[in-house]
Amino acid sequence: MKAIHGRYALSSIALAGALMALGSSGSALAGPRESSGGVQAKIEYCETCHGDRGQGFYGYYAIPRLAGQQTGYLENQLRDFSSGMRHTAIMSPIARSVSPSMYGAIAAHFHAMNSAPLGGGSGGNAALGRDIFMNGIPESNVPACWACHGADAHGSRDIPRLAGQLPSYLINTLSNWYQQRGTKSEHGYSALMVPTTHNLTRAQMAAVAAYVSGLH
Amino acid sequence: MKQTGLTVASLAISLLAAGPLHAQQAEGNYLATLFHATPASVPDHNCVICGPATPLYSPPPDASYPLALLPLPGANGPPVKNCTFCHGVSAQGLAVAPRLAGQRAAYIQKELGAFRNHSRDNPYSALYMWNAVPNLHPETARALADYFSREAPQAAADGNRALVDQGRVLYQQGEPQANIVTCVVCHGPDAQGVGAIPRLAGLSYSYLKRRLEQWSQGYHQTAKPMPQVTQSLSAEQIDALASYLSFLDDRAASR
Repeated sequence: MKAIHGRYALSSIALAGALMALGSSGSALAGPRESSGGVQAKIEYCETCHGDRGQGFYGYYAIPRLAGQQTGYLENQLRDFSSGMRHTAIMSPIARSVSPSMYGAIAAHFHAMNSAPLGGGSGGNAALGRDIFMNGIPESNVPACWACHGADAHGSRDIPRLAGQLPSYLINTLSNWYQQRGTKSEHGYSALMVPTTHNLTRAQMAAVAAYVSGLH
Repeated sequence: MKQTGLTVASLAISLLAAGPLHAQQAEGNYLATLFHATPASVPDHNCVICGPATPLYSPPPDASYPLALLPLPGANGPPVKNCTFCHGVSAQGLAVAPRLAGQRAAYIQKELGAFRNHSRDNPYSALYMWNAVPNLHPETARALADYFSREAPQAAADGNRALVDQGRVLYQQGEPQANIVTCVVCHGPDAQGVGAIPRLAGLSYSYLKRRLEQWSQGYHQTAKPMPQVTQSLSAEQIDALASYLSFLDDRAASR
């Protein structure tokens, strides 16, 4: 555990250094880094879209649940959005407005929440999803999800919680893995998911989403 | 022209506000002649104030057909004229009454419920809409929402053109440093809305501006997360957003 913290601290320093260098060279990443209102204001800013109980929200795009999410995973995502290793038009500029010193407090805040799943169907077969989650699909080289994400789908450290996540967000994530997260992440285990997501059919993704979105 | 429109709107509005009187259905009541398709003595009259005795109109099951300029529904259709008195010809909006044409059906239905339970308590809502909906049959509300959602919307295009670029950036990206969220994540890339989240593209500048201002003034606090979304917006930013959206023709954008 200590080793992990050490690694984070080191990479935060490296990242901050890199951003400063980019800032002074006038890169697109440059801009006002200071955010108004401190960490509490930033948490409320997150909650505006992700829900005041962190439960997620169905907007035009599905806004993912953060409640109960693993702190290591949340911090990694903020870091990757900020550095451009994970990219979405919405979250990337937002993550760049969050000081790395706030990551820990924001992650801890959402990790402590335990709201009920938001629900919303995926159109998938939850029984098939449970089978894939528990046994994988050996003929397609898809490993059992629970082996990493845990039998309760709560994840651990860098491995995300899936339980209670919005089904449409799960399907979107699984079907865009390579485009959005690719193999580039320096943190966590994003690259591990590339072959797995490649081998899942749309119906199998919907089935897994139907199953894990109902877990609490 | 605008003056005439205003007069017609305020006439219709003051008549609507007299709803309780109408409920008495007095013989020869002027309101009865205005709102009833048939005389009040006929039991299955077609009236937005009283509500129909039975569901009069079943919208087609497929709501995904393209938006179009619709013919007025026939005698068995929903009583759209009761809405268009104030909301304007083909419901394109008039004076303080917003455009309904092209609005999301689920949103219209939700707002009709919010007028009914008074949770949408903005001044004009309380003044006009609270009195227009108490006797609206849920089936009729559904039929009206379906009808107006299929009407082709036209952009009001009445904001300040000089603020359009500023408004576009704010709409698409928000301002993360000031903890201002993006609009695009819920209202969509062309502000077309989805489900019960309203279409904003092409609504009138004054309506958009008023709504954005009134959340921070304490109105309509049930419309989460909008009270929180708007609290960090400056007057200038509201001006820019309302201007940008008023010119936005999302149907042209997606063609």
